[in-house]
Amino acid sequence: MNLHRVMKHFWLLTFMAASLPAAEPAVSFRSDVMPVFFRAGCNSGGCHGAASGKDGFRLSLFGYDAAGDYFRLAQQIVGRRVDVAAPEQSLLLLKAINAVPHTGGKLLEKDSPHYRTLLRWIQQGAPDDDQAVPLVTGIALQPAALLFDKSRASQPLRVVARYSNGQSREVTSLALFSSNNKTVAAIGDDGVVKPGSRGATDVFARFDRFTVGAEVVVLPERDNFQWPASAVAFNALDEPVLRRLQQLRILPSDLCDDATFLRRVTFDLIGLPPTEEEYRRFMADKSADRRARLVDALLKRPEYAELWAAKWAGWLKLLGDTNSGSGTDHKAALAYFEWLTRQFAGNTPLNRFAQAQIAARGSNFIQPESNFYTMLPAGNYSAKAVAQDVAQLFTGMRIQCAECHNHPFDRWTQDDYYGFVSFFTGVKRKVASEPREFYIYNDNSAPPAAHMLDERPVPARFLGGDAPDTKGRDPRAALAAWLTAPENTLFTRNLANRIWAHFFGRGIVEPLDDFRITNPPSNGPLLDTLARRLVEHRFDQKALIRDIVTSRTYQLSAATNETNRGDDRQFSHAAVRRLPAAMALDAIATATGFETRFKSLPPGHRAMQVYESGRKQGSYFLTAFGESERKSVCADDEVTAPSFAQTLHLINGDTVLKKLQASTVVASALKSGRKPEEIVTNLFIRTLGREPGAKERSAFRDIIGGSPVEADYKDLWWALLNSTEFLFQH
Amino acid sequence: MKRLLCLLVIGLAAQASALEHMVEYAWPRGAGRGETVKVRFHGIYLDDPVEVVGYSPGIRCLSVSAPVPVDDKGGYAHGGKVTAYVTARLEIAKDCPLGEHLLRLRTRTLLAEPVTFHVSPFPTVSETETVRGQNDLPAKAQVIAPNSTVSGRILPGEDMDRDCFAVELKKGQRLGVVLEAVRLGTQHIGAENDCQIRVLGPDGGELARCDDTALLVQDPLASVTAAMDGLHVVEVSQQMHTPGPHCFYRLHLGAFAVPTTVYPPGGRPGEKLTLRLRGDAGEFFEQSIALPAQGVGSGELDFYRFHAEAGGVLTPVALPLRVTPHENVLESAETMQRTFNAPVAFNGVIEKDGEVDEWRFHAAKGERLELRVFARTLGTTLDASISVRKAGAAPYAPALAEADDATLAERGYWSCHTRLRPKDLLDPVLTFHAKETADYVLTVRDTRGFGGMGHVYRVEVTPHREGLHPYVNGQFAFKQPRAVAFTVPQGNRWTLNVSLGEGAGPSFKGEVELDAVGLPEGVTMQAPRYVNGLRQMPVQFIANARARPGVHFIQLLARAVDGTPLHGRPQQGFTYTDRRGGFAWHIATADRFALAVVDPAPMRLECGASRVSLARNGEVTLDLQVRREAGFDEPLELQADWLPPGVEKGPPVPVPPGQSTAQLRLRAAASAMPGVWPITVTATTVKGDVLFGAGCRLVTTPVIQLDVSEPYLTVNFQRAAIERGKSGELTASLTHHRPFTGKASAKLLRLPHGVRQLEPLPQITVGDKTCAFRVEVTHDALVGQYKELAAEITILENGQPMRQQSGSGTLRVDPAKGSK
Repeated sequence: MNLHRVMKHFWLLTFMAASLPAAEPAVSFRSDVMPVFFRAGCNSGGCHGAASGKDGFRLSLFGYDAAGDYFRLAQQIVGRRVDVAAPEQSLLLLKAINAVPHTGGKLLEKDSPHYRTLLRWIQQGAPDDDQAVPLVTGIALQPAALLFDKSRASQPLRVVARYSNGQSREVTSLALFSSNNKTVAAIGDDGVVKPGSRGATDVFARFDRFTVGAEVVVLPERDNFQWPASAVAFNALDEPVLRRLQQLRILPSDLCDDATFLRRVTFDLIGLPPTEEEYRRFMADKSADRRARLVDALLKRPEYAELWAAKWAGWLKLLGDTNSGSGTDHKAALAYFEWLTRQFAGNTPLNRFAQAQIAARGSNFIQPESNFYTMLPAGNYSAKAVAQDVAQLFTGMRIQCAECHNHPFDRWTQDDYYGFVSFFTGVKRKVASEPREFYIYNDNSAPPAAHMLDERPVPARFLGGDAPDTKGRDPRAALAAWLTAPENTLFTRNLANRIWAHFFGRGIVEPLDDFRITNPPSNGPLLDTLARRLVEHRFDQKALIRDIVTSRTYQLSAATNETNRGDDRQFSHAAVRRLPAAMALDAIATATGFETRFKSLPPGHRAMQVYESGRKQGSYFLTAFGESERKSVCADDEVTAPSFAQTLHLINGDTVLKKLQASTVVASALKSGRKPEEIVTNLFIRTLGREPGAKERSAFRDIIGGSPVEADYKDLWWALLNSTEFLFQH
Repeated sequence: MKRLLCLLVIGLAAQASALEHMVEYAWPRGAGRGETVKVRFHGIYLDDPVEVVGYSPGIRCLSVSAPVPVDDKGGYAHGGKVTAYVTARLEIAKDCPLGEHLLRLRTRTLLAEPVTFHVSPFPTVSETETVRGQNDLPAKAQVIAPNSTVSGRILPGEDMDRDCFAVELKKGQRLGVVLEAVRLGTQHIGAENDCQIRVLGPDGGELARCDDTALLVQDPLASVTAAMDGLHVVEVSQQMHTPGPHCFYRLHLGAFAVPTTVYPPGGRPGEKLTLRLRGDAGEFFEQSIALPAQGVGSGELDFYRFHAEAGGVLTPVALPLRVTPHENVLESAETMQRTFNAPVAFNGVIEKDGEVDEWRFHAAKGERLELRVFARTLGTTLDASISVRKAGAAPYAPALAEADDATLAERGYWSCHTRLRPKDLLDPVLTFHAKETADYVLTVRDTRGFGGMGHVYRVEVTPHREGLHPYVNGQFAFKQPRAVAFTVPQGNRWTLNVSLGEGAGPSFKGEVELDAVGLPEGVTMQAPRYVNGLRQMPVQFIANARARPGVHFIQLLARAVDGTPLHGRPQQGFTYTDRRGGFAWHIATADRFALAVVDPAPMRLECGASRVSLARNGEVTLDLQVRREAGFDEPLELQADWLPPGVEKGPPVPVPPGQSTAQLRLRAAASAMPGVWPITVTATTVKGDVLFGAGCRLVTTPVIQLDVSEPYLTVNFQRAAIERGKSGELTASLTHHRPFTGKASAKLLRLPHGVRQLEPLPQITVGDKTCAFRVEVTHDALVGQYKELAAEITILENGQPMRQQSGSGTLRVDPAKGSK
């Protein structure tokens, strides 16, 4: 820019400043202009907030870099985007009202308050803010919760922002709104909530870097609701569930029968179906506490530990590699799996379980928990990748967005992110006594992580917490202590939710590893109670599980009633869940009595015991049934949705057919002289965990005839194995 | 084809060697003291076996049988084959050193690679299982008498065999268990014999379980004390891998103690020490010993293998102790305040997490000290890192020097290939150069921050000495006879590349010669001088017709020509059980070389000239003459195995049956190192692994002096233009650099299509200033300008044609006049 033009702008600015009406309040770039960009979507990821901007103009995503935004807008090309000499000719305004071609179309009306805000700012000389500009310290919604009972009238929400100078102002017109379930409650750009069908959801408002939510409950218009006297809590976990159901006018289902309970709890606790002997023993037990005693017995089984080891192995990305030079060797992977199994077999408190891994050091053979730092990075060590995974695993929060910009749907800033990464920048790995072995250790003198924006070192800081003194120490020890402290609900709620989800097919927060303000729990008091119980139990997982599976909520039937048919969030009935892949394969093997063989593992190994997943070994069954590939810590890597390929494989694939063919169960029964009725009953129990009903007996008698041979029974059995009832938990 | 495959494997993976071994494996894998055993050596090319010899005393070969053919479909991943076995009767002396021995089978014509053989203090009991399942369960355990060594095998296959052995114990009796599996190094590739053990009580309860140990790395050990009378079961199983064909193991069971660390970990020669031994279960006991009075082995880097004794029973596993003449300082409040002068050895224990030990030593300005840690080398649990600070420096002042891990060379593994990862590399070696005369503080800590009673260490602080250590090694296949075997036929010659390894710190840069110690009568060595910093040269061994056949263990020592004292430790490394990635699981080293004099070879190889010249950017052809014995008509292959820097060779030259002459062409790059270099050419029979040498008869020519020098002359072309269909001349001026006799012929190179040089070729004498090349341009030639024409000058020197290239000329081909 030449000097003449600079001087022209200078004089114009001077003149305009002098000619402004004295009463006109000054427009702040950060407090007034940037919120307009936010509200209009200019700095969203799909528009100018994209990493490379849009159509030659870039803003920081959701405004994380105000100084950079100001520079690009007002200084990068003087007189173009913002023209203080002819404010209304500023490209910023012309584009916003679509007076010139704009890919984003018309975003503002010329007579709108937002347009006027931008215009006034430019007319005032498009100044940058001085240092004293107050910062937003939080926002609040008014009212904080909405209840739509018989009245169906829409209700407005107000958004009020608080600033660092102690002042507040309403920013409803500058906030963005969203609803988690538009069927229950929709919210417009003006913040007005419109009720829909019966249920509960949350609506949210976003302003600056803050997001807050308000719960919306919509009740049925006609209310003839009667809460049954029999629906009483079995334990503390039931109380928030029942309270919630009462609030929502939803009736819980009845309790399930004993056979259903036996099959459900056996699968859930040890990953296997009950045997015929276990079935008969339990069904013959008429004591009042038979279900509780069954739970205690199952919790002592070694399969319990293997099930949870396999579950965590999936979350921890536990895999082995034959190239020990670059990957984690199979031996280390096996050692890690065995360590996990030992922790659950010994019922290691979950806080110690987490501490051991987060602060792990030493040999990944001798201290196998140190494989935490060989699995999570999956190859070359990356402090960022580990920090992200640790956050997701142990707090259920996904902080990776904050690597490049403040989290758009949560509270985490880039400072939070790099502060958390700094706990892991000193972790080192070196080859140890043999080629397959690594030592993990911490270089206490390693520098903290550098901020992406300005490369400044960001000392280690807990998420939403303090910065510990880590000079000359391994900061991971401080992190492990903070993270697993009883009062740290980030940890306790996450673990409680993960455990709950195992028994109900979904978390109270779902996805279970996506805790964020905009994804609140479906029943907050339930999650709080569960987390509190975990602490009261001193992080004893078995104790919490005992609470869960002896609760009324867990023992409800899957059969629904008129009021809870549409409920899939409030646990008013048992969910029908497809068996996870390994459990399904083990169930087929157990039912048929013909085991599955896995490479380099001794006979008798079940799919649940394969340290790096049977899928890695090339099992088509486990692949088709969605066993986790262990490529990320995301819980939904394990897919339990049914698919056509699964059905076809069960019908035609070699898993069921081979095992049926090789099974000696029927032949043995025939040889021992068991009657057809007994054999059919046995097959039902082995496969479905129940005896056939009268109609089923009659129908099968008609099909297989009076003197069936082995093939007839196997045809029947094939049908049972291919029934929906077999493959699903109910 | 085999060669191509081998090259492919080397080129692409450089991991798994594809080579044949004469002896793939020996079975059984060991014996007890005082036993006489029959050991089968399985392999190929085992005709005419003569004897089995060992590097160390205590094993005597009584006889060897004729080879017995076997049908072994082992599918050896490295390309090996087993077609026969030879049975040797070996007598193990009652005082035979315990542990690993290296044995080599000699036939009348060949010397096989060494195999390991393990001697235990106990009698051997063979596992009786032949079909999987016979002893897989505790109830089916094979009963073993205490103080026995079981010679067993995990049977191959997906069934994942496991073996159970039972020992009858009374309450309170000790049972020690030590397994040798990976350490046996049985199979080169594919026998990932990583076993684990469990000890079960009479009630089936698990008393101990072990997979890996700090002392033995992949091999387990355990000890239990019986809590009740009855059969105690030891179960051996593969930890995870599907067993390969040769998963052999030796399981020691007995009333012995199983110490895993010892303190102090060393002392002076002859010193009486009270050793404090710590067992695997954490218990301590003491034993008094006298260290050997004489130096151990050939140098200060050696160890004394100490076998603890409890209740009159020797422990079958050795604890290495350092025996050095340095002042031996033990950790105490007093010694850690004193200042010591080198040489000194500090002995201590990092007992607690985060503990840092500090030792004080004095150094004079300019003094260079070597600080060498022994911890993981001794099998202790400490992963040491050390640093040196000036005494009195601020606590957080930067260290003057620090070290965590070490290189192979620093730890004395000069002869092992680079992907080896022994535990010893975790022990740092620091060469500290004192910038001022002062007291300094040496700190020792665990890199991981751990501490414990097993964290024993020793730091030896000694004045730095320049060392050069002779070794032989193949670039890739460390057991290839062609590269590493000293096998000399009577009345013939064999040449090997001998390298000089450098240790820690600065090394000697001057000229070096080799001395041989222990050469047998009738054998001489012809070793060149190591010059220009070269660390590998060809060394020739010549056996006269009267040299007695047999195996002789020799040493090679480096000697500085200028008299500078050098210390050196000859070494030959043998790597066993390679795994994917080229990482070795077990190594053995010998401080002597096994030189075998074998029966006369049926051929000799000679070169037409004992000295040939090779100009930079030139070529020379060696005229070679094969002298065949009467009746020997096999094909041969010729190759030069060592050439000076910048000199290249062509592919191997085949010599068909009936033919006795061949030519081998050498080419020098423009940057070839000038000098007179000793080279030889190898002739090999082709029945066997020609590339690696297994099964081949190998001889070399007498040393040929290859004189790499500046070119005789330079050809400077003048630009020329010739029409199509015509002939003309290319002229060049000549610049002579050194004289030659006779006439040299000059031939044009890189002529374009349609242009040819006309006969006769120009003849150049040493007095010529110019040279003219007559050329003809045909109508086929393409019109245009052709650059980079060159001249090849051929000069006869010492009867050998010597060719050099020179010049860069330009010829323009014009269209014929009148043509369109």
